[in-house]
Amino acid sequence: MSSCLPKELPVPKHDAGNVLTASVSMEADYRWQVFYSLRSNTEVSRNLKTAWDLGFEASTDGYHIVLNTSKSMFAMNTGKQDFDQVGMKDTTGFGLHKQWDTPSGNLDSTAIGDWRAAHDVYIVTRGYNEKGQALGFVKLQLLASDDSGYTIRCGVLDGSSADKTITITKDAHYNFVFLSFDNGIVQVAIEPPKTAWDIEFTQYTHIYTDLGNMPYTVTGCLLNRYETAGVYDSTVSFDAINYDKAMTYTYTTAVNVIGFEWKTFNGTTYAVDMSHCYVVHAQNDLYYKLHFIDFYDANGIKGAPKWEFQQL
Amino acid sequence: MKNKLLIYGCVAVYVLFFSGTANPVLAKEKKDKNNTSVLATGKDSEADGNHTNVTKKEFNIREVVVTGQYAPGSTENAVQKIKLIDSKKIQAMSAQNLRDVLSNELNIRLSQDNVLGSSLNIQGIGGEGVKILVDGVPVIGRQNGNVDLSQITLGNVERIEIVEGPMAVNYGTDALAGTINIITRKTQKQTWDAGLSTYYESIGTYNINGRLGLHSGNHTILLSGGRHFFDGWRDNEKPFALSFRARQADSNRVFQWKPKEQYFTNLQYIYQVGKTSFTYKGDYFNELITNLGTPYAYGEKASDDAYRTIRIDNALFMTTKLAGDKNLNVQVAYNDYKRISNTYLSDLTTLHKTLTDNAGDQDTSLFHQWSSRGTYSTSKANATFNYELGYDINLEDASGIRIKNTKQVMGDYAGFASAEYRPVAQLTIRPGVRYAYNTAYSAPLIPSVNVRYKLNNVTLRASFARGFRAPSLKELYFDFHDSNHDINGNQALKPEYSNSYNVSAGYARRVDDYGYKIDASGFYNDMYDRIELAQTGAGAQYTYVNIGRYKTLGVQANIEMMHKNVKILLGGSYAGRYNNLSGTSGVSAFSYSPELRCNVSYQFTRAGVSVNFFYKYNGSLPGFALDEKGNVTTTNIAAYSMGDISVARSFLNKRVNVTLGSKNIFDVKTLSTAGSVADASSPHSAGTSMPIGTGRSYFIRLDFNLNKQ
Repeated sequence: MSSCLPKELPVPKHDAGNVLTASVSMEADYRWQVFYSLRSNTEVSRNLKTAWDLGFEASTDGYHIVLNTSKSMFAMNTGKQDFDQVGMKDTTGFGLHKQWDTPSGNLDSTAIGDWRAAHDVYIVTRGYNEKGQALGFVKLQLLASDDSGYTIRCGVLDGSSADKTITITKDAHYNFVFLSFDNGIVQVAIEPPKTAWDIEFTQYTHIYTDLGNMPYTVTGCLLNRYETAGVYDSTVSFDAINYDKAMTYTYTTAVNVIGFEWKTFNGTTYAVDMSHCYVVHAQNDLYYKLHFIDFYDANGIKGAPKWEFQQL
Repeated sequence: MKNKLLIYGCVAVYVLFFSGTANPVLAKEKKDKNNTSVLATGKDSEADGNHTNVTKKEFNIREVVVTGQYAPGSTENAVQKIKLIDSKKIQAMSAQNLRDVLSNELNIRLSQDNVLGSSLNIQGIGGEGVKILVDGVPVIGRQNGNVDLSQITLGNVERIEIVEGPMAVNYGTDALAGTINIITRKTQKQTWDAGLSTYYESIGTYNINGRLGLHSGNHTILLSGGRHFFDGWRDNEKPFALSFRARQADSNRVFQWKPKEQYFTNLQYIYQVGKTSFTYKGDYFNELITNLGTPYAYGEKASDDAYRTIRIDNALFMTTKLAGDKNLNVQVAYNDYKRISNTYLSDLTTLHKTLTDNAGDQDTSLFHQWSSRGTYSTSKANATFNYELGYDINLEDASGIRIKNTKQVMGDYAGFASAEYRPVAQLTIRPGVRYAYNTAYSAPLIPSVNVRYKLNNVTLRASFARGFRAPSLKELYFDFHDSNHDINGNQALKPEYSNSYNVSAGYARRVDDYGYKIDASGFYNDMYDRIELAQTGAGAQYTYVNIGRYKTLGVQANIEMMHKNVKILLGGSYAGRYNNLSGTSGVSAFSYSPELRCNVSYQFTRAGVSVNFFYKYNGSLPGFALDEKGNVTTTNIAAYSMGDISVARSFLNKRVNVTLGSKNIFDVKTLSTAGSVADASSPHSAGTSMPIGTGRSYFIRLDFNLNKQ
């Protein structure tokens, strides 16, 4: 006796009309950070999330330093100014006193904060790589910053390798310039120029404020900080959003306005909610509406956001 | 398939219509040539005008039990309190698997997970503390500590013996809250015997079971098998929906209760010579659960799962009775369990399925168990002293992803001894002890004491026993690391323990046409070193540790009354579960919950019809938990009632049996759960309702029996 489950009939394909469909792949372990341009509908560049540790504001008057939250990094101010005296013993209480970069990207709420007055030594955890392996602690002391760059002294916290005093040069074409503690502590190029991209797909650290400020690594979409804002609307259908509707919204520059909550995880699979619609007010005064339709690629591998978008 | 219901209907109508006429062909086959009516054969009591009828027969039947006994004996003489569910009750309930039959028992609560199956809770303790045996061989293949009860079908079951409270001396680990021993049919008097049972339920269940038995001289071969098919259910589904036409792959493909298909077969060969019997038993079971996902991405894609469970069990038994009332029993068994879970990405525009490659999407869990038990016992009636010596060896291995090194092995070598001391005729004291050596953890020394005192019609029992649950291979060797989880097993785990106390009193009496059985019992379980997942150090590191404390207690009472054609059973229980938070917060130590049971059975002997009604009320389960902010909140699982009613009639000298009925007459579907317990280790939210039933359903069962003397 063969199975009595009724056979299925195929459904017709959906007709997208004028809407463009795009997708990127971060791979199933989310190891890639991918930068995308909505204007040209192309992937601009990608890098492994483990390729950098610290980002330095690249504008001439900039001084903020950000952590690579995709690796779940945190920082703690030791309150000491003597670089050589700071060691592994100073990590006691790290779990309780660690600071994080706020997920909205607001530079007034970074883990390191305004370091310019007191030259404190910070202990930073480098977080985890894509395999879930911990990358260890480093210490850093910011010595100076001016229009052209930063001078910092940094090294591995357990002293297993020599520390280094390095100058990071700014470049105003970018939002940030980056430093990696791999390969002997070097400056690395990560983001494309700030005028070349609109959105980034990456893991980042979200803070659950209703669970006692619990940090949790999530996978989602962040906005470019440069002349880009966004808004979230789930009250109207995607088709109903047009230019006039876009004019009525109040936009925010929080980089996580698109974020990760367009999908939910039930313990085994991600379900994408197509009713989460977003409008991005990008550079050159262009408006785009977008919503996500999938998180799995054609082979069912996760980490492949697929979205529909249209210029308004 | 479409016409199956129609065929059933026709057969039922045919048989009912023609039952009133005597069938001369069949009358010739009847042994008793004095009866001219087909219907009179079942009513010999009325024919001889005695009127003692059903009551006397029911009252005097000796209910034989074997679990933990030195030799097969009656439930009355057993030192432990043993509950018996016989095949008559299984037939009266039209129970298809172990889950169905346990739904009517007091102190047993059932839960349902639509992919993992049915699990139970005895005396407030979960399924990992319950030992399930088939003919004394442990059932393996626990998912999250539970055996899926709907995988144990009842086609060849003679009776089910349930012992509440620990039987760890005899059966080792997991026999903590209770032991369920399923005894299969082993004897046949007729030269050949065949039977077919078909069952259709309006929610889309189509079951068929068959059996064939041959007996000649010293040899008996019993073969049985069947197929159980369930086409899935969701709320608001129309009953009796008989559409097997192909349908479009839209949201109607999703079911809350998943479609399930089971094939199974068993073979027993019994060779009996003198007082010795040798038995070979082989079982094969194959189940497929299909979980079709909700279409997404404009309905073009869906994620589908399939779960296939395959059980292959082989066992050899030797039982012999030696001179001087000595018994020797030896069994050797090999159990093989495999559970394959597959995840597919289905392209609904082409119906093409691809196996996906994400971590954990495809997994095979394998469990193997070699086990051997032997007992040597004396069972001299009226002797002051009888004893039993036994050994119990279990070698098991488990493999699957998230097990360290993918595979782990555990060996348990145990010996046990007990004695029954009867200083006076009415009093029996049975102490027992078990000693084991285990390769994975330090096994405890397990004592127990059972006392039985019988005076006239009253039987009093009391027992103290230690029970334990060994750490599972998962708790010892778990290995799960990704960017948000860091969970390790703990190889230094000790077993969980319980100190359990049980008392009971039973009274049986027959006055004229009335028979009474009254029993009352109480239990108290004190458990410690319970294994729980706990945070270790900073960050998201978790492992299993022995830190839990748990207690349950309760009382139960049953009254059974038999009079002529009526049998009524009324029972109730009131049980409390310990609140862990009472130690730190000011909440009460125990949360209590009542249960009620009422079974009524009536035989219309003149018409040959029997009516059965089964009712169980499960009271709400209150409790306390910490929410995400660490505040104490109340939790609650709602109360519900389960009722089944059926009418049965047999025809043609019991060759054909028709049963019509309704299950879940109170239309229970889901239970609301308030204040769900938040798992502070993850932001994955818990649900607010539990599936418990598929609403009211109607069924018809046809049994055909053939045999030749």
